[in-house]
Amino acid sequence: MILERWIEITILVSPEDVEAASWMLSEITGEGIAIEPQIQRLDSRDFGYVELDEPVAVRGYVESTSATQTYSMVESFLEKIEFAGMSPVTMFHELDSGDWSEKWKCFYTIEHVGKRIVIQPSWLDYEAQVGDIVLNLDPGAAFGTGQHETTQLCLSAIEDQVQAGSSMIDVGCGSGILAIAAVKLGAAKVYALDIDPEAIRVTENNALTNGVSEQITACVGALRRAPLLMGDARNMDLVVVNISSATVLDLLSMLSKVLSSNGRAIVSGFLERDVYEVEEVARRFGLSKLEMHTQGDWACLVLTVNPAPV
Amino acid sequence: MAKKVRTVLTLQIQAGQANPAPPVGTALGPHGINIMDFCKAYNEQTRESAGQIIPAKITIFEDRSFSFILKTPPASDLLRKAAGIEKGSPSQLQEKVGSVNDSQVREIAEVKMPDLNTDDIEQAMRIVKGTARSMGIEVQ
Repeated sequence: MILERWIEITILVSPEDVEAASWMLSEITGEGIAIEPQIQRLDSRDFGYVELDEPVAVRGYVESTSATQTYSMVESFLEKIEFAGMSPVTMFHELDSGDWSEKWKCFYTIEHVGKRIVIQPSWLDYEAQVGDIVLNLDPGAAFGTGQHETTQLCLSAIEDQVQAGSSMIDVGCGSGILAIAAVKLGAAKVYALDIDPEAIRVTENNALTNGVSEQITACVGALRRAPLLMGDARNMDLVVVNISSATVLDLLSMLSKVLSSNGRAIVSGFLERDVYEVEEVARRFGLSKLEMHTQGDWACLVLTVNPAPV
Repeated sequence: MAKKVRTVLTLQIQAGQANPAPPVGTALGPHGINIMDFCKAYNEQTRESAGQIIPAKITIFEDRSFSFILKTPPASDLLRKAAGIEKGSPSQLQEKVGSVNDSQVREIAEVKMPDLNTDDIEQAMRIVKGTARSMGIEVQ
């Protein structure tokens, strides 16, 4: 338990002075430090960002019992260090005491999604109602906590599309939340793919926690490797891609190759403004829009394989 | 998935020793990051670098999930080791506390290159020399 009171020392410096400020704070506090640059999220299809050439916040922490000594140490260091950029700006802030290993949990609640899906973190109690599909899932080092609009849109679409015995590929599975939901909704076999090995580890753990390991095969890889990973993959009932419009546009040509003749694709991870383009490209590759759902700025399309021309 | 970035931050901490105390808890807690999950993953990935400071650059996504990559040790840590200085006390700032030579600076610059915003070794060396000056380490 960490219940001491702490003083947070923040020094704003130019990017070129981050090393010096970090060194100074680690000398003063004898502890690690946190560095937070200012970023600008790009209005791009892959949701990139750039670090700006703006002041960077370098933060160190001391127990509040040594506050007075710390103030004078900071002053004396600042007088002597030559900073290349702007004059550093210093701020002190007393933090609430608390157990940080627990406090982060306050951001999470029991989440109800779609008609029957309930996302339950392990530390919260929930009395399941008849018909509930409960996903036991803790947030962590892979996307898919259940909080994001696109995750919720995909969960609802999967709830509508999965039938007993369905087969599915979850491309970019992250935490495995969509794959797990699909199995709990009746899917017999789900292949969960992600290019990040950490996501595969998280998916396997989450599948185990939810008792659906047997039905989920998680593999490191991209959709183009699907036939290698799972033999004949040209018979899937569902493919879900919740990544970004850039990736969805890239993968559309592959989807009709892995879907069965009645197959459906659920694609999301893009904004409503990109729907038209996704729809157009999908049509070129033999997929047409069946449904569109939105939440906030985000969109999700359910696509169906066009009937073969007679 | 739709990995829209909420924020990015770097933690400079001892390899293998991440725990929920500051700075880890105080930096990640307010973003709703699963702190023990980060600590376990960081400690596992850095356990063979014990004794070094290994920064972790953490990307926090809109849904409060995260990913991180490990970076090269801070120049100050490498300089301190090259100059044979123990972890310092503030009084060391009063005067020159040690020295490094040009080839040591070059070695450190080469280690740091992947994380410095330059491909130019001379520019990287200038940055390392600047840090040395701030620390009271003389470059001979």
